[in-house]
This record gives sequence, structure tokens and C-alpha cells, in this order.
Amino acid sequence: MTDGAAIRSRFLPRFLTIATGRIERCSQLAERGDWNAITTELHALAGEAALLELRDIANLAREGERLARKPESQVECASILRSLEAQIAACASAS
Amino acid sequence: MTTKKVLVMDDSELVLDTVKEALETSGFSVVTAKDLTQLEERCSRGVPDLFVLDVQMPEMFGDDVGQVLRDVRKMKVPIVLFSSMDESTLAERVRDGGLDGCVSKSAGLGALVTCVESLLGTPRAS
Repeated sequence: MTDGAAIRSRFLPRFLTIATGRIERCSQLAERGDWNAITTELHALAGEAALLELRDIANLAREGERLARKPESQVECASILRSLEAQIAACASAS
Repeated sequence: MTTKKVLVMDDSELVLDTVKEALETSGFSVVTAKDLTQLEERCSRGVPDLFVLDVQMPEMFGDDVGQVLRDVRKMKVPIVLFSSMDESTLAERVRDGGLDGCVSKSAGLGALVTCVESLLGTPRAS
């Protein structure tokens, strides 16, 4: 039996560091208009969060990834990035 | 009984380490690769009993890697896709690539372990 809770607990601090870095990179990439690179960062973040059962963060990252692919949705994607930053900070505070 | 070896490929080291921990806890031996160079190197040391491949990676798609392993390298071991893509897209890629299974990362580590056990058997029950 896989002890998901134990794995989550062990890897959560590392996830929070990585996730914070990914969002910082996304913000820099958004300033440069590199939305393709943002989809890569958010796709990776979605997978990492999903594995640690951080569903809110995973769902937001997936939505951000979807929006980043569409030029007309990039303002919405920037809003998702801010929500992700807040969610990650909340997760860090709670841990 | 010989421990079954699983090779996991993903460009995220965090994913590699969590999957390795989950599979090792379940009794499998795990080697990891974060890119094609590492995959080649790991395979040169011995063919694993099963591959777990991420799909969307910077230099290639995991289902393309799976097809090369199966069709060019003639590896007959099971190949499973593991991605945060939705399950219907993953299932389609498995069908198109003639691969053996898929697990969405949203389904969690337990679902991946169950999939690997269904293809290789349950180590601790053997």
C-alpha cells in the first residue's frame, strides 16, 4: 500500500520551494511575452502538485496552462498566476 | 524471487523522486532518467521490466520514446504513460502508440503503483 500522506509530508517542503521558483519564472516570462515557456512551467507544476494531492494548486496550474496557450486569454492567465502564488503561500503557511 | 526493475522517465526531479519512493515502498527496484541521454545510459546497464514515461517533456513526447523502444529497439517489456494530461487524451496516445497503459498524475501515486502491480505482479504478495 502506498502511503501518500507520508510521501506528501516528506516532499512538501521541496515542492513549495520548486513551485515558488516556477511562479517567479512565469512572472518573468510573462513580462517577456514567452507564453510557450509559461505553459511548460505550469504543466510541470500541475503534475508535481497532483502527485502530492494538492488538488487546488494542480487545478489552477492546469487552467493556467490552458489559458497560456491562447493569446486572447493571457490576461486571465496572469490572474491565475497571482492566484497560484497566493495558494502556494497559503500552503507554505499551513505546513 | 528477483525484484522487478522499473525505469521512470520524467523531466521533473521532484516527480522522479516521489514516484521512486512510492514504487520502492511497494517492493520494486527503480531507476530514473530525466532526459534521453540518461535513458540511454540506464538502458545500457540492463533492460528494465517496465517503463513509466512522462508524456510532455522538453525534448520529446513520452509516447514517441515508447514507440522507439518498442518498434526500433524491439523491447517487449510493458510501457506505461504517466502524465498530467487528461485521461482520454492519454488513453488515445496509448492506443495510437501500441503501448500498455496510462495513469493520470491526478489519479495519484497509488494509482500508478496499482497499474505497475497489474502488469508486473505484486512483489510483497509473491
